[in-house]
Amino acid sequence: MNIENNRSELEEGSFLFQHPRESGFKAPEGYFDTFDARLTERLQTEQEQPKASSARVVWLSPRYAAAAAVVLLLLSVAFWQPWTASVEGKTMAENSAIEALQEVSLEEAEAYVLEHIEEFDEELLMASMGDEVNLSKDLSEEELNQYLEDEGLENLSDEELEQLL
Amino acid sequence: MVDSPTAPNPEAKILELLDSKMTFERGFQLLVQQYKERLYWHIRRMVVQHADTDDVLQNTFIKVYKGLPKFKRQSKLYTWLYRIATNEALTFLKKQRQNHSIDDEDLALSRRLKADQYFEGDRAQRLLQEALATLPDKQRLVFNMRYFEEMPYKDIASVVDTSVGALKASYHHAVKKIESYVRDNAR
Repeated sequence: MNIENNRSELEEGSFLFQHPRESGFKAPEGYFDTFDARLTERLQTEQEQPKASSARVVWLSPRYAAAAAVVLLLLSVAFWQPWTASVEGKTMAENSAIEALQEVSLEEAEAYVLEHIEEFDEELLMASMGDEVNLSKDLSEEELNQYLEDEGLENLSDEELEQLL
Repeated sequence: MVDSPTAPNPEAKILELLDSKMTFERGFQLLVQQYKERLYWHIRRMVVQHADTDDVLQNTFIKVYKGLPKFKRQSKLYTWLYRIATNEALTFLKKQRQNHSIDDEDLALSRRLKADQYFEGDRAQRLLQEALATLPDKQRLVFNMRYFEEMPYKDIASVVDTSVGALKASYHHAVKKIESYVRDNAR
């Protein structure tokens, strides 16, 4: 049914369409005249707020904690495998892959995992975390704010955030 | 001053100013001037009280200021602004709801309207607000944008990230529910 075309049907004898489309709300006199100045003041206040200490402990969501855990797992495998490869009879291709993995920096590995997080098996991610579901990590204020905004958590207090996680 | 939706403002000038670091602040000032009233009424219809609307509107523009460098221009500027304002309003309502039981909401709205010195609605407008309070937030949102602002479905779809067909159905259901509420409660 095309509702837009049948609008007259909805409107016929209707309460909604017999009255002016006004909500009845009003704004205080002069409100919009002073709004810009108050907003500017608030923006300045926000920009002047001191940055949080870089040593601050951040409670990470399981998703990000899992990503960090996978990075650690990959690195530990990369450094541990060379001593066991000959014993377990790895193929040349497998050894080449291990060597290649050893050349990947922590930052590169972390970036890759975060970028492809949706492709990782959830059970593998959770298993790789062990019992730890929260990690501390040094994040810049900007990174932290971006993360909280992405997760829709920016308006929560620290206590609410900890309870949630 | 009463609510009166204004026509969309040209975005080109604002976007041009926002493009340069030299003129970014001027562009943002112009953006606020152009859209503050429209966004105010959009938020006000959702959160009802003026003081709450003022908070949500300020939060909206703070988010806009911080988010503008990431605005990719895949949508109209005004629908992007509406999207942020909508998210802020819904977040506010969610928090507010945590402090009240669902059963108390209709009564609370009725009391708030009576106590609100910035509500000047007549009997029909009060009844409409009470009917709107019975709708789920997202249905009320769609109804408001379509009924009060007469926003094209395509633009509403961009704001709430839903298909036009689903929006039409949502609006249709909202109209039916409101009419039904008015029939049962008009005295």
